[in-house]
Amino acid sequence: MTFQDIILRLQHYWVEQGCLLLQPYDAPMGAGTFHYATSLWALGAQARRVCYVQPCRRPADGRYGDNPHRLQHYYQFQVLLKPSPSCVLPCYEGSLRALGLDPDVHDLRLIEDDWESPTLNAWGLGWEVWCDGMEITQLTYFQQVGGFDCAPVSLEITYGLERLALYLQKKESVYDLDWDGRGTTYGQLFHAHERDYSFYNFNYADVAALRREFKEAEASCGRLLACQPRALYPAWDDCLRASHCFNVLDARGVLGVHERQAHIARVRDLARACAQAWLDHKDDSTKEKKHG
Amino acid sequence: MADFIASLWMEDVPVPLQTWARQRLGTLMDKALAKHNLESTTQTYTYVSARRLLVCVEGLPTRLAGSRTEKVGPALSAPKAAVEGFLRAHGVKGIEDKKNYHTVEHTRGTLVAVTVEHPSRQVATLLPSCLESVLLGLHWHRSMRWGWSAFTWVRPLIGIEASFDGKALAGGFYLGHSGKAESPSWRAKGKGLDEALFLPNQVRDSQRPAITHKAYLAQLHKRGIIMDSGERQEHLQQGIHKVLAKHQLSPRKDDGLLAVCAHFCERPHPVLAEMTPETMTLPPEVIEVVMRGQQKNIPLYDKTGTLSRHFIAVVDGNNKGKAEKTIIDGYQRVLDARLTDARFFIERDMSCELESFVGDGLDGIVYHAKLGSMRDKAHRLRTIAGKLADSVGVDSQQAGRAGYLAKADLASQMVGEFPQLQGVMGSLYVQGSESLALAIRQHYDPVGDEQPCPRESLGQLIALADKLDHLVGFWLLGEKPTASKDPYALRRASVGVVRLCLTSRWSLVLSEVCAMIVALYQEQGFLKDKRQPQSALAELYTYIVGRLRGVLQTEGLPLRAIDATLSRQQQQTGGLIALADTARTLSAFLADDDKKGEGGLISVYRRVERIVQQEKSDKGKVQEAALQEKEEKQLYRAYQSLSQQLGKDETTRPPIDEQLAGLRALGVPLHGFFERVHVNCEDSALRNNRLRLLAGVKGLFDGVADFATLQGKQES
Repeated sequence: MTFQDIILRLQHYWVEQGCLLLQPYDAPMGAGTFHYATSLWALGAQARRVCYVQPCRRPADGRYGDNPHRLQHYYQFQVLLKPSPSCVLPCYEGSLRALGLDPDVHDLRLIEDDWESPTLNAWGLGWEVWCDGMEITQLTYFQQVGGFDCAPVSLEITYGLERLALYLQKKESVYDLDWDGRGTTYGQLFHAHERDYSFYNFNYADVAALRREFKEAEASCGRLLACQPRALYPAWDDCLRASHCFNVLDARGVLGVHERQAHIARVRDLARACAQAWLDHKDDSTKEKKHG
Repeated sequence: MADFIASLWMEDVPVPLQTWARQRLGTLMDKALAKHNLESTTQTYTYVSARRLLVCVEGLPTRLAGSRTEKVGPALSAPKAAVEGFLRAHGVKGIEDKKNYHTVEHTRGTLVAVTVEHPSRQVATLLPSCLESVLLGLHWHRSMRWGWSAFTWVRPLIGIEASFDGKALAGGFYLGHSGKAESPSWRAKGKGLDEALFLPNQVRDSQRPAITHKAYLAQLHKRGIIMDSGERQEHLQQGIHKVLAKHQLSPRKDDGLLAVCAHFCERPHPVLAEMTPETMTLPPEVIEVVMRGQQKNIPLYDKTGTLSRHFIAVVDGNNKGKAEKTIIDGYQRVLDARLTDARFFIERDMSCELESFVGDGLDGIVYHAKLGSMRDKAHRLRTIAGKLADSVGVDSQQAGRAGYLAKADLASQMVGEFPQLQGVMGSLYVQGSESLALAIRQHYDPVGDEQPCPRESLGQLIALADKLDHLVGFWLLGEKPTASKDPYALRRASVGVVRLCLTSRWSLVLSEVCAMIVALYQEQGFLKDKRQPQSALAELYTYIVGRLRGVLQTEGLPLRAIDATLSRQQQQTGGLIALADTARTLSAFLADDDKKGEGGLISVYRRVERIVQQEKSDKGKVQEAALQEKEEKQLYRAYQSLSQQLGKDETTRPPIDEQLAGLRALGVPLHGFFERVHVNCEDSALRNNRLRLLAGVKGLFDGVADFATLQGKQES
């Protein structure tokens, strides 16, 4: 099964389960969770079902294209089911069948793996799913986002597409993955990106400019939320921008322990303010309890 | 008599919480039964697997006989409102409704009382509330909501099967609704509730519920589910045995990982997989950590204890038709991929010398905000180890290097990825002698009270320096351990110091070493405000000596001997080894003396002490000329020669075993004295003289050891 087939089949399966098929968000982010369709939509009372592919950037994970399993840019297939359904596992297993993995034949195992995002001020309980020892999915029941209780609770299902493809195609290196079945490999498409971005993230990125940008994004986020009428979505973009600047600075190795903590706290404040603004919005107002 | 069976079917029961949950389930069930007076004839059994919690109660009556109890209320003379309140609460109309209440006489006066009737009831009608209180009472360490549920549980609860005497309980469990403020409870019917949140009590996979506890377990067994964790482990053991029939391989003895694997599955099924030959070129410690920690695969060893290429993966075998070959292939590929990752890190790490990690890497790792970075620590360890080296017979240059490099691997990529490999990676990366590598690897030892100490003196030295540096730093910061909290593991470090001193037999003066460490911290600019650390250091020394007491006790020494030693330590500085030796000598002495019973020194000391305390001597000098009997003269001579032998100055005294031998020699004339001489005689001058002699003898005993403690007064 090619890389693009995996995407197509997952999309098809989850659309059949009633999901809205969204497209990737056009801003750099560390995980599909940061897409407003997960982070913000998980808050409030309105039922939602959505799925989308999201490219993710984790600057510190780059390996100059040398490591067959580590990338600074990779793809997640993200599903949000709100409220979480009562038949989670059968529903999830259906998606594996759609990929040609019969859960009755393979060894599927749930490994306790609770999730916490200090920058999103969010946490949830859930598992990694192992298929014959390989971690292929992450399932999380969101309990809080932005410091606010989720009611109802959403279930987030995240497939690491490269991992899944490595397993399905029985390849040893991510760069050998078959993208389209017509000779295009993952390496042809992305190896140069990995190398270039590793140099950028670890060596070239302009630290002073990034620090400046972090501050600008932070200030802008606050300003936009204070405007009347407010501008939540641009503010959310600023939050993502600050988060990404922080990630590059972190990869660049210029943040001391305390500075690192301080930056995380500042991004968290932005995420919380956006979540607050989202909940205050009339269309989605609910009676959530505030925390701290 | 009938059985109650309740099975809670969940998406997952996390392994670390399984045992706790099983025990708690039983306690809660018994408590709930007791509330209805149902517990007297019953026996409760609980089970846990990766997917369900099961509680079975055997021996319940099907009908609870009616009964009546008397409820006593306030005194008749109490304020009217109180009396009326009590009566109305029990269905009596008021104080005039005299036929429905009575009075009882009590020391508090005449009290109002009512008779409460408990009608006979079907036990089946009581069980839903028992189950409900179990569900609401099991508070997990970490729990969650799901969907709209108001109910919180460790992981989603997805089904309940509850039956009594072969009949399913009526109703089901409603999870509540977080948006509508509806609370979770057992409901007879799901009508009017959010259907998605109502878990009807249903029996799966079988037409009728099992009648008995045993029959239910058998039903599950048939479906491939082993509920008893002991049986599950046994099943896994046998499976492994079968798989390894043709191989001369075995897992490590008492491998705790086996239990973990048995908890992962409802029917553990081992499969044999193998690594690629290239993978096997990695250090075995690395392979083991990846295998055990990340993959929960069970490593195998040959007869010589060498790690084998083969390993065991445990899969859940409750479904038939698994593609075993595919699964094995999958596990092999994952392990290989993980190890390829490790190889990448090792190659990266080895592209520079271990020394270079100290300068750059360790600087970025905080030891403690007020105690600097790990780099500061590396510099201190170099100095401490170098300075102590000469006095313990280790090459000081090598000691300094070992101290400097001990923590270097904390900055390596491998330890960043696999923290358990701290020490191990440093020993693999370091260029130098084998003992240097061994010292780096073992300097974290002893990690537990039972774990071994480093074997070579270089390793012992670095381990000691590391622990003392840690103790001094955190002690001066005031982070002292309490009975329940010890976040910096100072207790463990102290036990380590004690055990290292006893193993190495180095008679270091700890107070001097600690003072030197304080000076090093201050040179680096830390602990500047601690100008007079002496009192804190004395306290630390006392704490360490307290751990010595524990260590010697585990060695099997009697507390009498240990406490008699510790009560006599003169200055708060001495070496631990001297204290331990004294305690051991006293212990051997006690063992010998206890055998002699009445004829032993302790017994004779007790006699001397009793007379001296009762009669109170005047503390004057013994008049030799006034002694009359042969025996008292003999005793006096023996007393004088021993006092001279021991001398007045404690520091120049012979070793404790010689002193004890001297006392033993004194024992013979003492026995003679007590046989022939009557202390409490008519002649007061003579009596006084004899008392003085005995007081002198007691003084000799007391000078040698704390005989008051040795005779075990505190223990009796």
